[in-house]
Amino acid sequence: MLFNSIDFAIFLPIVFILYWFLTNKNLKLQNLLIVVASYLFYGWWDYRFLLLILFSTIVDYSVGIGLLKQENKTKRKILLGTSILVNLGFLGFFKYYNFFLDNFITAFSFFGTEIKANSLNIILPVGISFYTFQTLSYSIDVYKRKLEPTKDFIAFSAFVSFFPQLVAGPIERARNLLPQFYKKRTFDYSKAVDGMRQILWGLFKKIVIADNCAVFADQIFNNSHDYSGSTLVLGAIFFAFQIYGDFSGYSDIAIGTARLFGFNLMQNFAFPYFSRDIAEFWRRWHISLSTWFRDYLYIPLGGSRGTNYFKIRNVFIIFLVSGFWHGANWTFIIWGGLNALYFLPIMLLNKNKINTDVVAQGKHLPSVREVLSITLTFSLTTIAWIFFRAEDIHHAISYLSDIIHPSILTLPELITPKLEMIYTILCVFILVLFEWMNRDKIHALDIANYNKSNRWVLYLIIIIMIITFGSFNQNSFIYFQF
Amino acid sequence: MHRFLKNILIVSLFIIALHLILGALANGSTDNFYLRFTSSKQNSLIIGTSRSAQGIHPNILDSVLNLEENNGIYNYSFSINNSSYGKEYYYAIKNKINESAKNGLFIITVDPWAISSDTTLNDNEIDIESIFYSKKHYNSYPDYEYLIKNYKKGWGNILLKRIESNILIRNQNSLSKIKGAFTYLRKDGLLEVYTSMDSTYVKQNIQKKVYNYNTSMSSNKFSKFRFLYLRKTIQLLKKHGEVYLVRMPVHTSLFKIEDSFDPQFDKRIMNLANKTNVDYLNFADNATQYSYTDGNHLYINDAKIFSNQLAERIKILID
Repeated sequence: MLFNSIDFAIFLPIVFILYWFLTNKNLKLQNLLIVVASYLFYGWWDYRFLLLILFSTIVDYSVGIGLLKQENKTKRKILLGTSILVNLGFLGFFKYYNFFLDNFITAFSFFGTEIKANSLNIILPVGISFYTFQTLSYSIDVYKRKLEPTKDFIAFSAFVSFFPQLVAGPIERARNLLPQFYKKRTFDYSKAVDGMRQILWGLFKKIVIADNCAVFADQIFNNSHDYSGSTLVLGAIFFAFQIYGDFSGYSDIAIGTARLFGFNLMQNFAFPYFSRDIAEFWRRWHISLSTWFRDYLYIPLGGSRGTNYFKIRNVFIIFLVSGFWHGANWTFIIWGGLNALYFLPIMLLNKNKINTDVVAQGKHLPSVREVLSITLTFSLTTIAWIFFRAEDIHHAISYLSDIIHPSILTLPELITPKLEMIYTILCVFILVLFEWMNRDKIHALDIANYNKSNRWVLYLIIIIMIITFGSFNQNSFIYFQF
Repeated sequence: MHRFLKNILIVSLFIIALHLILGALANGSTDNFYLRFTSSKQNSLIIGTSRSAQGIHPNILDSVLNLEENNGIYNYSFSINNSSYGKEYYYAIKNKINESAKNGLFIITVDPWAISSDTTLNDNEIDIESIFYSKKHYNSYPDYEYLIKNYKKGWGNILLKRIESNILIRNQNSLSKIKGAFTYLRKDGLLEVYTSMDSTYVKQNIQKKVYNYNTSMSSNKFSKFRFLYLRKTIQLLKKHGEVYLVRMPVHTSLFKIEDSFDPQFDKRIMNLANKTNVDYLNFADNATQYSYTDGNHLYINDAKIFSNQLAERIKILID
């Protein structure tokens, strides 16, 4: 079920009413309702893969119980290994099997050996990368004794399958989310209203920004040879806003929906396009994944300690793995590698933690220096997005080489439908302006401090913009495929 | 909680009311099909795909054939993806005809693509993407069912489109310079398409169409199922008046592709016309007389010329 669908618009109020009016007296029943609703939400897309979630839940729950009783180090390692094997095994089979097979065949044919192997027609279960990482975090934390394993199977099932963030995150840490299922939730008006505001802003980002930018990004990327250098630059910028609107929009809706049910999910985006360097960008973009890799991969590898060799190795590992996590395609790996290259000089010069505050805090406008560093960071990110969006590496390279052409100095062409392109650019400006105004908040529509009439005027404007400029094609979210 | 629910209810009612108003504003600028669902039942129809939707002017047929006294002829053609002959289009036509009509005129346009289907799909699957699929209600205005299912933009865009079309129609000069297309669906069902007729631009559009149709050749084949429904459509319409099968002209480069896609097409249609006792009017040989926007569709002014010629041919047959 998609957040931007009529199905969800019917589903959400029904679950909300049942949750607060029918099951609110019994915590177990309330958690069970979450499980049932989450399975329905996921099964709406493809019920067959519910078994996968259920299996993963049973394995990690059992591993947790096993770890609770087990003191023997070797046996504890075996239990953790089981969880890792099952979760990464599913991920490896569904997501990477064909990729490895194809590359294996190509590598052997390069050395003159022809191998015949049939790739499988595998459907990638939606959100598999998200929920496997979430359950893995539970097993690892329990193994490291940072978290008490749960004996409540329903609460654990609800944690694994919690519908607002099941298919595209934020990838919650068990330490944050699981304890929330043990406590009775009470309805909090201001929390629920803020949740609705975040949902509204998320819908604006998805329906108005992402889905409209997608039309022009697709048109330009799919016919890149037909366009001038400047139009290709515009195409890459459209994609930068498409992916931001799409993914951060999803996160906003997910976090807002969770708040309606009394849950607090972690912030996943913190206005990343206002970052002044790449290190800051990665502290602000897909925070739940970046911190997951930091906690469970980067730090265990040694992090930024040790010699420069180890530092460089660790940075490359984390960015390449992050790229590969996004998809079984070399374009994602290059995208990760490119970000590692951007990040390295800052880290080696020990300047990766200089921009930890909010840009131009307390001021209306940034300084010239801040504008330049934001522009540079955005440009570098957008170049990397070209690899992320391209069909293959050849496409990405030809796209980049077509940009480097005298036509980059001309005005970009207007793509048909022209008027809609102009509206889209206007909407992107409104997004940037609004996010800039509230960049010190948790989300851009965190306007509880505005007076009532101003708040309602803003709601009205956003609703009218969604109704007027929104695309209701029920386009899937990009990150579902990961 | 009550305060929260009250506020949500107010916002929801506001959004619903706004949509009811915006839906009622939908007209010919909304999209290329909407008005055809909201018009009343008809006595005479033009049936086919986008070629006839853009290429046959009902008002010209009305005036040459004196159809006004029988409520005129209505263009009920859609597009190749929606109104290729089949079960869905058949029932949509059935829903559009005035049951009591006896002296109607029905023009059924035919071409090889309208009786072909994707090689990978079976007969039950070929029309699931059609605009008529699962359509429950016809001939009511406003048609919220249609807008909910098919209008993929925010409904505020309906108002925006009305304003945009008013401005463009007032500036006729700008219409002839449009790269891409501006479309407006008239109340008689004709789809007006305005686009630049600059020769280089038209040439590019024709090349694109040639490429598309060459691709379609390998993924499509003649469909017995569609042909059966073409026959059923003829039989249905014959109960309500005179039926004419018409093959419209297309650019010669597209005609060659059609001809190699289905070399038996004319023979097949001639046989069908003989068996069902209707006339087959083939204009494919007149292709060079007209200008096309993309090779597949007649330019709006040439569509007038063609409509006149078609009406004159029918007039001779009637007389």
